[in-house]
Amino acid sequence: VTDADLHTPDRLPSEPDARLVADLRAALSDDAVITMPGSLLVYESDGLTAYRARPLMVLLPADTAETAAAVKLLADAKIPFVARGAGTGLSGGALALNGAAVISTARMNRILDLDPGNRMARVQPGVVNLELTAAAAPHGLYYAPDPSSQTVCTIGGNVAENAGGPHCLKYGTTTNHIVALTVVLPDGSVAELGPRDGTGLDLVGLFVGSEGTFGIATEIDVRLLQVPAAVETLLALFDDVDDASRTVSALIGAGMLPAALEMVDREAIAAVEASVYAAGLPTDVAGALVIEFDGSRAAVRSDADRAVEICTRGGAREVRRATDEDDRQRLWHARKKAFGAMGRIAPDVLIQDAVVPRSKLPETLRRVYEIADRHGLRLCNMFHAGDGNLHPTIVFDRRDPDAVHRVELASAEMMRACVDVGGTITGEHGVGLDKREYMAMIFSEAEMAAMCDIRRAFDPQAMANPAKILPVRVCREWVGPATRRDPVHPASAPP
Amino acid sequence: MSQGLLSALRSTAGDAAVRERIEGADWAVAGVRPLAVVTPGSAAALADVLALCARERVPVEAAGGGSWLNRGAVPARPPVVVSTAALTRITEYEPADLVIGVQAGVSLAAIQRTLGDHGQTLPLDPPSAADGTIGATVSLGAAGPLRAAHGTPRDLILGVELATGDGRLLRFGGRVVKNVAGYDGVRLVTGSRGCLGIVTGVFMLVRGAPEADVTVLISVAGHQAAASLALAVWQSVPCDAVELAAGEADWTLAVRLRGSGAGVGEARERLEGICGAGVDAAPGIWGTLGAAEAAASMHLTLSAPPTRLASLLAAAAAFAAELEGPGDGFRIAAHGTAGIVRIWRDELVPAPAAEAFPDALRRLDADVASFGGTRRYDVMPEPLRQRITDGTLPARGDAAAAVIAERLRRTFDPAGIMMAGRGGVWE
Repeated sequence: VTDADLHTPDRLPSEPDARLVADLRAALSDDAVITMPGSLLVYESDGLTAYRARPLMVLLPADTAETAAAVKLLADAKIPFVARGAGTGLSGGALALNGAAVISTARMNRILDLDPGNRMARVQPGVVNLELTAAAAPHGLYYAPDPSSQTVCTIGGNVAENAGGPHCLKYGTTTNHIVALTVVLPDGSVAELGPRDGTGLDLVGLFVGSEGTFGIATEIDVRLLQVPAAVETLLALFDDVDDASRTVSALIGAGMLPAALEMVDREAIAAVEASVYAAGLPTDVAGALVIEFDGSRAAVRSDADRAVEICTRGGAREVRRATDEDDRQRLWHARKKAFGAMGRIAPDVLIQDAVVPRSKLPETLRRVYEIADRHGLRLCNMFHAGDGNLHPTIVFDRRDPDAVHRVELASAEMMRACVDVGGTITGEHGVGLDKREYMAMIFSEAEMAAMCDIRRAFDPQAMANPAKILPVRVCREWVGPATRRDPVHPASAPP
Repeated sequence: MSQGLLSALRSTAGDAAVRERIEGADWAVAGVRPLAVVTPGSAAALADVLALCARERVPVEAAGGGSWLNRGAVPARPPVVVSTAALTRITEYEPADLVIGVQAGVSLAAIQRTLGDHGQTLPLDPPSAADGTIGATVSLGAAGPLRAAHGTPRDLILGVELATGDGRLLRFGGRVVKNVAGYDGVRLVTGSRGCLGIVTGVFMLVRGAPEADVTVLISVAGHQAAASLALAVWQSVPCDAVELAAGEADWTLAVRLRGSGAGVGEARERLEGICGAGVDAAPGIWGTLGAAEAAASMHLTLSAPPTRLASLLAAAAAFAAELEGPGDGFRIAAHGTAGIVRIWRDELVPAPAAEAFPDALRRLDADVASFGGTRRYDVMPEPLRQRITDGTLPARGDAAAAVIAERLRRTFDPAGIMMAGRGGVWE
């Protein structure tokens, strides 16, 4: 975050107006309005802990009507709001800037309807991703988008971020699975968006991924998928990281469509093998691919056979094939537990997020290592290789200001490297607060102005999660006194 | 047309790109002769033409090859047709990325040919003329039977370039398969029917061409049995398309199985376990069916949750039977997994049936609404259209969503020239 105005240290949110608090308590319930500073602490940041901002208060509505009532009262008082799910976001999107109130979806955690025949469910936004899949499982169904945080993150947060995950390669991201939304707009009115909204425009598609800047989705119609009849999981080990990333291109270029195609490098494997999740991998390999196929028995078997052949031809030292579910979980540990394991290595971990065309993976990965080397940073990679979605992960110590500076420089250079080969600045974590200034790398001023206009169509008064996604200078309603007292804690060192 | 506007169009798009005297039905917009047909040679020139029309407050009809100009309302003022027909370059194709970038005037057939040379395919088969363009497909959000496995354009488009109604050239999305940077303009534009501007370029996901591609036809007696069978197949056979078509007496269930040889073999065994042996058809049948549907003179679409398929089919059959003798002119087909039923006619609706049409449609609407479905029309010839827009359609939609949609329209097309008076997405 480079805007000087975001770092003005003089103002923290004042006490909320007593009358407003009373009105909110009347509209919700006494315990649904949190104003005690100590209780607000946990809402100061999301998964990107470097940024902190204390909300004015936190509201916990239980349904659409309560959310609408709360938003209306806030709008009348001209207090902006930020919707918050589990707070696992990685882009600072759930930070309450400008003395905003947080509206938590924690109490909206019910599955309202499960319709197995039509493979549909209607849920409240606070439902946890994996709990939806658990509820659908007895019917042979599941909810496909599977972000790494799926044991805690919520469907509402997934909608806001258009969340992805390893299995997006075959099944697409959140937006491909959302059918309709009930949303509370920033003025407190309620809209039913979907095929029946009568506008002929895909307002659902536009809302998904809007990072809380269009309002709050309070009821969500999702599509469920049939649990595949069979799954085959492979782990291919490579002595050369280039061979591994070239094999990703070879698999994709051959027209194969694995359910997941993930990559981990030497550092990540070493971290996992040193942890309780050790999968018995040789730590001298330079990189490994986790490749998973799902579908009918015959189809996955022939796909896996073909993938083994492509990996071997691509220089794999060894290709392991999971023999049962336990074995499969073990192979996945190398990928899924890597991020947690990195936490053991250094006090701070910064996970970046960018996407490149898949054929550019080998050269981009080389650039990323080179950039980290040049800045003397320790880096590992574990990422959605099949999507070209890189997650360069840098370990460092935030108490070392020079290291923090080098992390900043390296991050920007990595983004530039990805954009230069036709990529984008975020594939699944969102822009939020963290990447606003990178938007100009990929969009023209005219395009960013058009996006500001799109936001204004939903939120003319700039009440919903202001000052996120777009550089502040782009949206005129953000350039003014309200934004200048944007209270990001001065004490927090950005990564 | 004023000589001033004509010379301005010529100096903006080039002399050769502007045709003024349009003879006969070619390029007629719902029967109205356009002021001119402009086919700019670049996206930038096309945007400049829109900027000019916005300044002059001249209505604009977005077009590709011109196949869909007969759809929609009769425009109150003759428009300028702005066509992407000259934007025919494949801008980027790296087979190893499974992504292709094309200008909007490239035909679906040309895209499939290019991909086919590299063992790849675009899993999108909307009802379309042979020269149907990708720009029109994206603008209409049109999809065909393959939607059962691969979704609609919103699931396949990665990036769009849009010339807005006031002449800005904007790019949304990009050429990578995952992208959450900024608002999802790709989905806003996809299916917006030219009402925000004209799509000039597209990046799309493609897939490896299937090793095996088998189509099996099964004959079923009665709509109830046909619907049950379609749902049973959806439940237990991995397939790319499950279509139902009403025949003279029986229904035909057409199932398309694509994938590896082994996978298709296994799927076929399961299919036969459910339906018995069917008759094989060549994959070309799908294109033939799509082209026939695209040529419809009247076309309605009914939607409901997939499990209401039998109710939808019954409603469609009752509607057709009410207007004419059974099997006489009206065609009925369904996407068996999506709860989508289409009713269309090749020939114009004859006069006696036209008289009864508004009442029959009202009954169809009530019928479909009774089980939570919706109905829209895609093609409605005059004067049928005048009859049914005369206050006989029930009010639909969401008031707050309508306000947002109107604001979005103004954002992209402040002069209100795009598809003006054509009904478009706003009906």
